[in-house]
Amino acid sequence: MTGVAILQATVDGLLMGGVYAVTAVGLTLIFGVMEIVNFAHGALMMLGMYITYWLCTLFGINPYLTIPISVVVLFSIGFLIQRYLLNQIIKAPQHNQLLLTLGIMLFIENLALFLWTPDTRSIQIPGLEKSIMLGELAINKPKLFAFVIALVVTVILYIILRKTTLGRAIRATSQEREGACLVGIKVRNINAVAFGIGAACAGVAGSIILPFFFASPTVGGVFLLRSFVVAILGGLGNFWGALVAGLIIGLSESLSGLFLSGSWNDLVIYGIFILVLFLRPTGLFGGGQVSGSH
Amino acid sequence: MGHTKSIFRSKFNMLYFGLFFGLILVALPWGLNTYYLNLVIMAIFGAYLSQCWNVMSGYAGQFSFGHAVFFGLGAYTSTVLFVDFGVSPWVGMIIGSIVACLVGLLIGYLSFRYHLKGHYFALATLAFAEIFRVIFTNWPFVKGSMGILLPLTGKPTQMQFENKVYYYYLILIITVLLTGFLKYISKTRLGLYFIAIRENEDAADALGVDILHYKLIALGISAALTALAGTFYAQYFYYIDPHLVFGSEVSINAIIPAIIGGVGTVWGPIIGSLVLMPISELTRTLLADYSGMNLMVYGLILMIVIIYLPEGVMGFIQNHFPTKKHIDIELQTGKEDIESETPLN
Amino acid sequence: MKLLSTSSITKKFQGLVAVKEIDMFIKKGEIFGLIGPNGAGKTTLFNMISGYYRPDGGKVIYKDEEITGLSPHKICKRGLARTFQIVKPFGKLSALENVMVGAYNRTGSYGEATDIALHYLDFVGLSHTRNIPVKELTIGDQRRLEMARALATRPQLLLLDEVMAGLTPTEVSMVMELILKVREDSVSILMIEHIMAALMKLSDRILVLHHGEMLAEGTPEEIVRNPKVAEAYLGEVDMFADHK
Repeated sequence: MTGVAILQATVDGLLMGGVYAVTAVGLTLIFGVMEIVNFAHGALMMLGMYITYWLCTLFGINPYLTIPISVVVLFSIGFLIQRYLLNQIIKAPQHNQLLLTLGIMLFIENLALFLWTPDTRSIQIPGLEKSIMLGELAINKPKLFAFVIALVVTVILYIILRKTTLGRAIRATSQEREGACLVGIKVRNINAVAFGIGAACAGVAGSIILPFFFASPTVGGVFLLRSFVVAILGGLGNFWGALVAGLIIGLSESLSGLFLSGSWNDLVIYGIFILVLFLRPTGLFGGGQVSGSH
Repeated sequence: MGHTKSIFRSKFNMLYFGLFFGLILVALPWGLNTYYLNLVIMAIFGAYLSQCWNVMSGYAGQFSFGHAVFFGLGAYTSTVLFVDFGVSPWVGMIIGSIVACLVGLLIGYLSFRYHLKGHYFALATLAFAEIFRVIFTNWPFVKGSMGILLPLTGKPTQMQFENKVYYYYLILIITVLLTGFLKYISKTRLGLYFIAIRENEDAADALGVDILHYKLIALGISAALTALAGTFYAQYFYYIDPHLVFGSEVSINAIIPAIIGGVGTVWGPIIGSLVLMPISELTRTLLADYSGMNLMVYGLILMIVIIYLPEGVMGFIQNHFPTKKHIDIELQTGKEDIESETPLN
Repeated sequence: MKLLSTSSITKKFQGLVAVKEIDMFIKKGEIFGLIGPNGAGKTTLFNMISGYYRPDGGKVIYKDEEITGLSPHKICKRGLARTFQIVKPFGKLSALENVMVGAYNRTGSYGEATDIALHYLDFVGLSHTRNIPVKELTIGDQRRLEMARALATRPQLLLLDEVMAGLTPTEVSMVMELILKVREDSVSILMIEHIMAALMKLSDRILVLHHGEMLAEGTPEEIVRNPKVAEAYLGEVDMFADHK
């Protein structure tokens, strides 16, 4: 095991971690505001992938330019899902909400299967095949871009949450729903917006992954579990926690990939998941509110 | 006087109806061709699987999203014992049950000891199912992702029947037994304690219910019974692999019929499976060319049921047609009154 | 004879001391009142006695045995039952079935449990609701149901947590009578209550908590005359108001 190999794995892990972070941030935002565990998150990410794929393949648009479209479309889908489906059962027991998002996931995934067949799709972008070389370290360009964009999105989200009226409304609702209602915040709409934002995060993640991964209707499943692990590790509802946890999981995955082959790697992640669930379900940093603060 | 007569008559009627229905059930398979027989077997199988899930998640309220764990353990235990060691699946089934039960108790003990509830518990069960799927996919001893092909011997002593009719009876019998068991425990301390834990754990605790103990019982029973379904599956389809028996589709199939029919009710999973089966088949035949339509329809149904019929078909019936049988409170003993319609049905 | 006693019992929540070294005891056959301004630590004390919180210090002794830190169901098995400030009914079950859950504490037989449950439903005056799912009952009925449920476990000590809160004056009188009836049935009572007049009338002795510490202890007459108590309650409640 050379030092370079380890360094390479570290870099790759961190880069991937950024992507995990941005998916988990969406998940944690949704949970923080509505206490909903969104089983459909992976499926939403998959939609983001396909949006980028089709725009790129059919119209030749640069995949990174499709991100705003992905954001808008996924935000709308998320908004509608919350406003017209999840909202109906806002007072129902927790497990009903889980089941509803499960149903949504089944529907979206299999609709995709129907529309686009199980074939895996990938895109090739000229100019992005070569990696940037730093000595012996190869930095994969699409992964690097993904990381940077993920970071940018997270920062933008932070700014929205902290500095805008909307953000304040979201934070208020996540901390105290009834109080928020009393001061005139339209909780219903806030919930829908928050879910929309969460979905948009998933969409972005999908779009930025496509250049170095592949799209298929069922690919969401793998990322769903990863997102859960990250979100819970960071503390459900804890914004920064999701970020840090994303990097941790990305790193763990990458480093354990040096020693373990194939899907044994998955076991490490699931193992971490189980440990966190048992020993510290509130996450490494405790379940904070969606306030962007530590 | 007139009242006593009417109760007698209705009990008599129920007996008649029960016998008649039982006769139909027994005679049914002989009149069906292979296609419909398979459908019926799968419908009952689905009902059984969901009923097993119902014991723990519906009655005791501990929602599991990873029931595939027990299913897969049952399937693999009996199959490996059969294929590699010549052990009869009848015996292997029992062993598989025990294995699943032990694993379940371990998972349960850890989870409940650490007070995992609600979505945290659901996610933990999901994670365990995935862990086992990955382990079995990479484990050469069980042939990994290649799966195991069962030899066709056709011997009933090895749980193989040339005439599929006997598979029907097998699955029917265990489903009837399980349903009977659930009906029975609704009148016992065990059943009531399960429901109490589901409805309000803290209150149950304060009333002397050992929460950990009873949750584990629910889990253990559910796990052991689910394993039996795994063995049946292996013996019916002659092939298993980690994705088929540890995959999320199994866990989902365990959940949906109960939700549709009514979670936590005795007849819920059965009704749910009976409702789903024709819909599922219809989808399959009408849209055979398109993969995944089946599950898409499941997703749609799930969404509709959760939003508009959260207590399932049974819940709807109970809310809108409360039994008129025992509203008369002038009966001598209060006890007869108690046998009236309550959610324990 | 001391039925229940606590010595130096303490509870902290992340640095805040909710209950600080309380020594108290209840005699067999007593109705013991626990009062104090909001946040004084009353329910925390209850929760420690009944096993929902583990004390950070001190002991709880019941019937000469230490029960500190035992889980709620074990404490219930020893004959200590409680109700909750916010009622916790088993919503989908009928009133009878709710009480049966309690009754099963003493027996495993369906028939016996039913008999016990019917007895206690009758005791609290809710026989007519026995087949009704409790989520459909009024709050007053749900409170009494919770009492019946707790009584069905056959305790020697019953903890009542603000059982009269939110009730109409008529309902309050009914509950007061019920409490006396419970005492006659050989069950001692420890009750938290904000309805002063009721508490003063019922209690043999009262403990006043303030900021988690014992402010005063004694008979109702002694408490009423205690200047420290009046000070603590200034503006909170008119202790001399007459609730009829």
